[in-house]
Amino acid sequence: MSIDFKKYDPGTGYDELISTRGNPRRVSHSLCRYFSGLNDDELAELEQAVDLLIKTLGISFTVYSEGSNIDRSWPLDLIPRMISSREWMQTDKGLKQRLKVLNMFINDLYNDQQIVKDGVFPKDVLDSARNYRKQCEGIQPPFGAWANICGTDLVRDRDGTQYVLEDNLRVPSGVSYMLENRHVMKRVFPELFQDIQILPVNDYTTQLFYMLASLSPRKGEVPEVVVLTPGIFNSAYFEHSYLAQQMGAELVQGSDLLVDSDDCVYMKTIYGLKQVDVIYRRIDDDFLDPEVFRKDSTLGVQGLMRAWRAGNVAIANAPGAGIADDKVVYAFVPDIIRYYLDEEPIIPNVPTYLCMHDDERAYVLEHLDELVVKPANESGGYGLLVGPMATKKELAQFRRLIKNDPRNYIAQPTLNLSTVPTLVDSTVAPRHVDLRPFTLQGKKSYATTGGLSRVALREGSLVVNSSQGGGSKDTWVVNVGDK
Amino acid sequence: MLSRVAENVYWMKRYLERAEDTARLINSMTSLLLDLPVEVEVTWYELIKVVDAETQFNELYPDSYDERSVMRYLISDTRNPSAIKVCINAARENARVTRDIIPNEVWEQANELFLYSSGNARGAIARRKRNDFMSGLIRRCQTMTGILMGTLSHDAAYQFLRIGRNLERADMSSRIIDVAAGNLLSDEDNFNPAFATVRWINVLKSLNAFQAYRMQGYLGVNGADVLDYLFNQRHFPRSMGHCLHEIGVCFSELSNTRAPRLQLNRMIKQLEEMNTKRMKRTGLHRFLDEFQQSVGELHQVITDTYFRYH
Repeated sequence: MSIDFKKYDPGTGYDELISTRGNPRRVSHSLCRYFSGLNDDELAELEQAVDLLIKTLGISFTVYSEGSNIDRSWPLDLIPRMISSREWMQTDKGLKQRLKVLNMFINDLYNDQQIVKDGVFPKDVLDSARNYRKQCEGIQPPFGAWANICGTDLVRDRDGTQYVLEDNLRVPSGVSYMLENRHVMKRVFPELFQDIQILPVNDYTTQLFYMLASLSPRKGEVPEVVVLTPGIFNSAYFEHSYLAQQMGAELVQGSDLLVDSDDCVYMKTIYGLKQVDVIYRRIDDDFLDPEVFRKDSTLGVQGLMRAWRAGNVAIANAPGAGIADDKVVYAFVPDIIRYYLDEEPIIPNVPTYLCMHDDERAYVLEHLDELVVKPANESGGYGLLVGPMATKKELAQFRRLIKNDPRNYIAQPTLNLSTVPTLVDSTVAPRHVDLRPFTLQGKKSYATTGGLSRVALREGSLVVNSSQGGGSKDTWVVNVGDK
Repeated sequence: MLSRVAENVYWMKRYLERAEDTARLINSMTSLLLDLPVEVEVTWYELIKVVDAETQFNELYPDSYDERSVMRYLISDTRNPSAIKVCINAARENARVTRDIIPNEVWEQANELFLYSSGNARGAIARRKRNDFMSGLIRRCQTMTGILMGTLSHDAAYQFLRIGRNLERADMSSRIIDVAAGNLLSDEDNFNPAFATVRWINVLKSLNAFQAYRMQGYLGVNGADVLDYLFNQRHFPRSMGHCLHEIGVCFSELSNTRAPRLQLNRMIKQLEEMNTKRMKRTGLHRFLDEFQQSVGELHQVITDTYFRYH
C-alpha cells in the first residue's frame, strides 16, 4: 500500500500539511505529489536509507533510565514538516522580541529590580523562585544578555494559532538534531531539494560562534571559546561534541579547566595552561562551581564564578539566567513585554493558570481532568500531568501536590496540538508535533530558520520528548512566492 | 590541544592498531597450520602466549588449548581487554570523546567498523568464515587509518595518533616475532628444513613482510636475516626499527620532547646493537621482553610529559 493522501484524515485539529481530506496546503503541494508517486518498495528503500545514514553518522541520543545502554539511534520521520517563509518571518520577529525582553527582565532582576518596584512582577514570586541566584546580583554581562541561547517551544492549537509553550533558557538542547536531520534529508531526497525552495539551516553554528566570540572580555584577540560538557554520559553529549566540532572550539570537561590565583580560567593542554575567554556551558548552574553552588559537584570548575564576576571570562548562558525559565515567570511574559517595550507580544502565550493564586487554583483543582499541569522548574517532559489522559490515581496525586506546593505548579488548557502526516506502517497517519526554534542574542540577535520539529509517535499522544518515545521531523521553511 | 583529548586520540589509534594486528596474527596462524604436518606440535595456544594472556586465559578456559577457545578469547570474549571486539569498541569510545577534533568521516567509519565487528565477531570463531571476517576487519581498520591520515590536519593530534599507532605496532611486532621465531630457534635442528623455511616465511607473513623482504634481495629465508629485517629495516612499516623511527619524526613536530627522546634513543640503540646472527632462543626472548618493557616505559614518559598536566 503506497501513500494515498486522499485517505489521510486530518481530523478536527489543524494539520500542517493537509488542509482538508485530499487537499494539501499550498506549501506542501509538491511534497505530497512526490510521496504519492512512490511505490511500496521505493518507500521502504527510503526508510532504510534514512535509518542506515543515522546509524553510520552515529546520530544518537541517550535515555537515562536505560542503564549502560547509552546509545539509541535518533528517530527521524521521512515526511518533513513545512512552514511558509512568509509565516516564518513573523515567527522570527516574535522569537527575537521575546528573547530581547527576557534578557532585559533578567538583567533588571539582578540589578535594579525596577519591574518589581513598579508592581508588574510580584515580589513573592521572585522570592520563591528556585532558579534565582543571589550570587549573580550586580552583574552586567556583555550587551545585557544573560540568556544567549534560547530554545523556545512553539505549538499550534486546533484553530491554527501559534503559541509559545515554554522558554528554555538554561541549557536548551536539540539544535544539533535540527542540523543533522537536514543533513540526512538532503542526502536522501536530493531531488526534492532541487524542486522545492527550502531555506537552509546550516549557518547556525557559524552564528553561534560569532555570538559567543562577541562576548569575549579580551578584545582585539581571537578569543578562546570552549564548550563545557558534563561528559559522555550526559544525554546531550552528542550535541556538545557536534557543536564544538562545527565551531572549531575545544570540547572541555570541568576537569580540563582550572581557575588560577589571577582569577582567570585556564585549560590544561599538552603544553601547559592556556587562557579561556568564553565558555559555552552545557552544565546546569547547580554544578558549575562547587565553591558557590553544589559542593559535591565534580562536573564544574572550582572558582569559575569568581572568574566570571571579575569579568575575566564570559559564560553563556550566564549563571542565573534560568530565573526566566520558571513556568510561573512564563505566565508573566506578555506583561513583561508590554512593560519593557510597550509592544504587544508577537507570538502569544498559552493561557496559563497560576496555582499560587487562590481563585485560579480553585479552577484548576475543579477542572484537573481537562488541563495540563506542569511543575515550575522541570524540563524534558518530566513530572507532567495530562488531565484528559490521566488515571484517577494520578489526578488524586496531582491534587495533593498542587495543594502542598501551589507556587510550584501551573496549569494550561489541553491544546489539541497540530498534526503532520507521519509514516506509520508504510502509510501516513496524523501525529502531533511541536517546534523548537533556537534564538541567539549577543551583540546581535539571530533565530534559526525553522527549528527542531518533534513528533509524538503514538497515536493521539501529545508528549513529543525524545526521552518519552517521541520522534522528529525535518522542518522545511519554504519559499512559495508572494501570493 | 587538551591533554585529555591527546590521550584519547593516542589510545584510539593504539586500540585500532591492536585489533588490526591481532587479526593479522590470527590469519597468519591459521594459514601456517594448514602448511605444517599434523605431527608437528604447534598449538593455537601459542597465540595466547603472543599476547601475554596465559594467566587470564587459563582461568577462563581451564585446561583448554583448542582452536575454538583460543579464537573465542581473542576475537569476541569481552572479558579479554585485548579481544578484537573489545579493542574496536574501545577505539570507538575514544573516538566518541574526541569527536570535536576528529573529522566526521572518521566517526562514521568508527561506527561502521563497530557495527561490523559487533555483528560478525562471534561468527568468525569458526574457521569457515574467519578469514573473511579478518580481511574485512583489516580493510576497515585501514580505511579508518586512511581517512584519519587524509583528512586530519597535521597538528598535534595527528602526531599523537602516529605515536599511538607506532608504539602499539612496535610492541605487537615484537610479540609476534617472539613466539613465531622463538619456537623456531629452539627446534630448528629437529626440523625438516623445508618446514623451517615455511615457518620463517610465516614469521614474515604474519607481519605482512614477505613480499617486501624478498624485494630487498636477501638470498634465502633464514633466521638471522629475517630477524635483522624485522628489527631494523627502516623502510618496512612493520619493523620495530621503523616504528621507533616514526615516533622520532613525530617528536620533531612537538615541543617538550627531551625526556621521551632520551628513552626513544636508548631503544633505537639497543635494537641496532643487537646481533641476530648468534641469537639463541632464550637470548631472543629476553631481548624482546626487555624491548616490550622499554615500550611500556616510553609510553609512561609520553604520558607524564603530555597527558598529565604539569
